[in-house]
Amino acid sequence: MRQFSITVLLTMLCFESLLLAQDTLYYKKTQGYESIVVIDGYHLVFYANLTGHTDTVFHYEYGHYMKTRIIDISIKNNKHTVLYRNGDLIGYTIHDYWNNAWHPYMGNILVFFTPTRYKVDVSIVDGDKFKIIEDGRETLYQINFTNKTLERYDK
Amino acid sequence: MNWRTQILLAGIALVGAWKPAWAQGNALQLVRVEFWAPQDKSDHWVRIKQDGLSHTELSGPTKTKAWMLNNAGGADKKPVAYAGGATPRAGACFRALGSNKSCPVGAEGGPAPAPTPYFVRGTVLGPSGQPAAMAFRPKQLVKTGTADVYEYRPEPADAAFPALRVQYMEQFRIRWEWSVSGDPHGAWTQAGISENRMYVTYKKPLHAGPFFYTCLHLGCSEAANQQAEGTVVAGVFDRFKTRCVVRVDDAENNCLRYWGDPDLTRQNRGLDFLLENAAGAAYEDGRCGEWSAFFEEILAAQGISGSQVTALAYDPAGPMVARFDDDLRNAYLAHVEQFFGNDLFPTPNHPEQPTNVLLDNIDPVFGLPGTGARIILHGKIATSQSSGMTKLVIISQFFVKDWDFSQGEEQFYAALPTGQSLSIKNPNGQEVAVVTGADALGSPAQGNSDPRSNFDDHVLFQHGNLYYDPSYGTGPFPDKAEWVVNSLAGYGTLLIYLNTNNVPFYLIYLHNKQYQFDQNIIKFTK
Repeated sequence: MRQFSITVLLTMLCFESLLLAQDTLYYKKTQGYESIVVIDGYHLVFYANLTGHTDTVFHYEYGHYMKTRIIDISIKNNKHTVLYRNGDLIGYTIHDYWNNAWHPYMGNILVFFTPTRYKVDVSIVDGDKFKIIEDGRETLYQINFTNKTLERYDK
Repeated sequence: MNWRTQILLAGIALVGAWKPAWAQGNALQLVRVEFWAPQDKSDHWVRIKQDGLSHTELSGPTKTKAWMLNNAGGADKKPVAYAGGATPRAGACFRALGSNKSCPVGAEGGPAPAPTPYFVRGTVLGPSGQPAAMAFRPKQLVKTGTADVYEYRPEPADAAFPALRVQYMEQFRIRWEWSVSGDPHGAWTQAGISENRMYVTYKKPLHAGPFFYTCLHLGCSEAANQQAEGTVVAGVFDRFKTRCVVRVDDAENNCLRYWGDPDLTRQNRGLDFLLENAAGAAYEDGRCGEWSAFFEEILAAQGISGSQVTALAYDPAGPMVARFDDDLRNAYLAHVEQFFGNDLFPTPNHPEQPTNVLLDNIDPVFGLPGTGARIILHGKIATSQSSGMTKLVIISQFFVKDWDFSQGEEQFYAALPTGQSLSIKNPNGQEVAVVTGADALGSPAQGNSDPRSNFDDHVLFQHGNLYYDPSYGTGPFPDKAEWVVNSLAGYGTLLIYLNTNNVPFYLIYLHNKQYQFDQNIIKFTK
């Protein structure tokens, strides 16, 4: 599946023309930014288009047989949060933007699947929380950007 | 000849020229054919349902509308299935040629219908159109309404399908003829030819069904004409050996997949997902459990029983499966600490501390720092019921071929392509170890040339003394040890290395190269 917006396409052409030959794994456009993830061999390449300029956020290298699925991407307050899953786990990675570049900030594994534990839904809420629904139970965890940890969040 | 005689002759000629509709030839048109459950062996009626999640039944509890004239001038068809040894029953409906009357719902019993002057018989035709050794006897048609619609009430054939012989007839054709006398040697006129798929199973199915269409089709088509249980199983499994099993009505001929999508497949539960063709990557895809159930269900439709057998990476010391025993765990943790050092473990810098390393339980993960290079072990915290002590439990796994474990046992490898190294760095960016990639091209499996190859368990199928691996299309193996030796590359556990960019990499700890079957390590359960 290829989904390119005109703005992303034009901007990407300036950055890396080879992208057009790659497969798009994920695309999201919201007010103020666009996100695109492409597959490049054993790498997933994340791009963010913020107000007309596109940055490479990071390259994610993954194992031979692992197919990473992007659940959601959120950009808020200069924080680029990716929620992903593969056959074994659900994880997140956060980058922050300073000095005109994205830098690794924090990340971890939220859920490791087992033969009896696989129906887990996770989403990003407001750019700074994760909502986990497992066996009908809903739990919110807030990202503590200062301590770089997750904390239980009571509504 | 005088005028009176001429008038008389003309009158006679006129009377002679008038015939009722039924006596004018080409008067009846076949509209519908239904097959019914056998009268004497109702359990030999095999019910069929659509593939996938809908569970819509193609057949009915007692009858199937197998051939039906449609408005476009063609016919709508449905498959029919009987168990070997059953005598099929068929009913049909006709109307006066040229009329557009509809047939009433096919029935048997009820109020006595009115007889009509028509007789109908059905002759089963062979592949080249010649009469086969089965027919539906001449029988007087009846009508239940005032319309010119006539019914051939359900009638058993004059022969049964042979028992213990699988049959698949792509076109089971019956020539329907009518007559006004019913005299077998008299004049019979063709009213139409019905045709539909006909399946005959080896024996009475193991359960009442309905069976997925593909299960029935594969069993009967792949084992057609087989007359022994062993050759029926072998015939079906030959299809699995091709590693391209296709649903019966899949116009695109997509091979059903084994772990086609490592993420979505894990969530699949059940044969209906494997056989569902709706849009979506989660469908036409399954794990070993679905593939084994698939094979089992195909054989169940043939009346052949077997059992699913699960191979488990096993705790040699205790009753619990898929975990290391204490001795192995302690040796493993010592290896971890020695190889990676302490810097990769969050405070208090030791992997044995259960609160710091685990990931099978959600909460401990949130107690971990969200940044910096780390090693995370594949395990969980368990609290002993007797002592109340928390304990680190390591989850064991086995690795399906092929992996390059040439560096030996008691070693760490990366789940990266062979030849690719992974530098393990501490939170300060200093290299503390290097692991080499071991992931070679995997054993090809159903619809997937290189599926994932690390598992806590794997499901096989046992028939008699033979073991089949439907997921990979391998076997039969004469015993479990043969499956292990031919299928597994090793046994150990997983780790995850989160690098300084917080990107996870899978690592493998190889405890044992599983070249020889050891029932203390790989356990089989039914």
